[in-house]
Amino acid sequence: MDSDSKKDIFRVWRPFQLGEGKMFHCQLSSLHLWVVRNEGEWRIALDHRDDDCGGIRIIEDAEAPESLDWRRFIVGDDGNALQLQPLMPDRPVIVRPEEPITMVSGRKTTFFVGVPVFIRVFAGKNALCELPSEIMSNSWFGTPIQGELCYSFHTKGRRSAQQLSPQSNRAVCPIEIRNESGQDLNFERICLRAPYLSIYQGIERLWNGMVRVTRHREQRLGDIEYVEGPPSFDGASSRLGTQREAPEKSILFKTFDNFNLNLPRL
Amino acid sequence: MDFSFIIGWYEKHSLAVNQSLIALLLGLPLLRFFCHWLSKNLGKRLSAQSVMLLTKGINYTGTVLVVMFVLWEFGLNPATLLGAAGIAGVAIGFASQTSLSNLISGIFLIWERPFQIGDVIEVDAHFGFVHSIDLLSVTLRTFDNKLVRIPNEILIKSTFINRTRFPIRKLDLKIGVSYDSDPAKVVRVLKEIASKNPYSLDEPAPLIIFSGFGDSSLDFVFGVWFANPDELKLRNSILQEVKERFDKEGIGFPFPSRSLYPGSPSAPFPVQIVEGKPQAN
Repeated sequence: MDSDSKKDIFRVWRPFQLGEGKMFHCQLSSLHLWVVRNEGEWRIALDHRDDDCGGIRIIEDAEAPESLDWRRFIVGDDGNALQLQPLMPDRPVIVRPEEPITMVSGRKTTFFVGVPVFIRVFAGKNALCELPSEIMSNSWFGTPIQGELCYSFHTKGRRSAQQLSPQSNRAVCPIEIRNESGQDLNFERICLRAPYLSIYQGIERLWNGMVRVTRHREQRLGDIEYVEGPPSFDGASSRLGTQREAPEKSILFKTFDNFNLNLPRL
Repeated sequence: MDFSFIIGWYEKHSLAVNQSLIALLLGLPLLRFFCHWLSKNLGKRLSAQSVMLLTKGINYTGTVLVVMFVLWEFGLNPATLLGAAGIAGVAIGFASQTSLSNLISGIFLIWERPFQIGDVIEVDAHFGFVHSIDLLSVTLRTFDNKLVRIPNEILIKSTFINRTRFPIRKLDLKIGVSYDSDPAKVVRVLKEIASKNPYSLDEPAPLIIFSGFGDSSLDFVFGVWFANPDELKLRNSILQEVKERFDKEGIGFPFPSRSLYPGSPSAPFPVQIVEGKPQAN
């Protein structure tokens, strides 16, 4: 069965029953994933290709190309349920607007940023592996002497969720920015602590909880708050993927440590 | 054989002998066990080098204390012993100046900490992971799995490079392209290659320099930043991508070429064909 699931982008996150010796193939954006169940073991292969389908294609009873590198997982006889779970990347993500953005003082706005998710593959109750749904660039947040390895990608910095096309492999993170500094706020990049974010299912999209950033007067960096629970957009409610780490309690410390509004020279 | 002397001596010093045996047979293994336990449990909290220094310090101190206890049990005064050791130390020091120099250099190395266990360093022609830092020498494990022992004195006197001291590094590739290539296009293509390679960091940004006019090529330096563990993956993938992309974009890699002139640089080299065979004038 081949289903073009632009209408039901959440189908891929629901359990599949995979018969003995059968192959499951799904394509999320540019990621191709093949899963085979044999006696007491599962075999998984993946490939990132340039043929982005813009949604999800699921082919049950598929055939795989010969060139794949397979991994075998011995899990015993633990049922035939295959489930894919979305979760946020395992490192912070640096989001760069395609064009530098300036916000005048006293303004508040919300940007909607679609972050590519990772996929955790479950066979029954056994988590087999985690796969990135998109290959993101590496980036460094800090100085050449000290810092943190991050992922990085560009965003159009949409200010309305409706402008984002629904993508099954991206969770939309609403980032609310308040400029209370008394001067223009220019930023070229935002470091988002993706492991702190959970994933919620909306009507048309996957969502993260709201992230609020406030830049106060005489402050180079912004205060940041990772709001728990689904955001009030798109009817987001049920949680599909849990956060990897709990946000640290000290917001002030965390702000200076983890979040940077990179201010270019004026 | 008459063992009566030994038996008599044992009866006279039985307490000291028994206590010394207990100290040596139980104390030393317990000390080793404690150090092993400590290194296992502190491994997650402290660096490998700190754990090694701590366990070695405890091991050496404990061993000296056990030996002194045994000597004290047999009536030897530790103060006298230390005095004798001092005099002996001076004599031995003169006799083994190199060892002493290595020892003092080792203390400086431990204090200064220019590298730690697990770092990749380059000393003269030797290149590998720091395997251990001891009082007299540092041992390296090379990439082909050989052990190289370098006296501490050499490390203090010579220049060495610690390749993994900082978490990110830059790989500089020298790339020559043919003279008919458009330099602006080369720069654009190199930027795109760096941005698509997953191991290349986009921050700090890649450095692309048109470095000059070579004998047969336009020379560029392509500097790409990477996280230390990704060095081999980056090197392999980016060279392959440069070759593939340049082929696709029609950017040529020139072979070394040389022009010969018969006297005038502007005139072509005169060739005359005689009976179908080329002959130079």
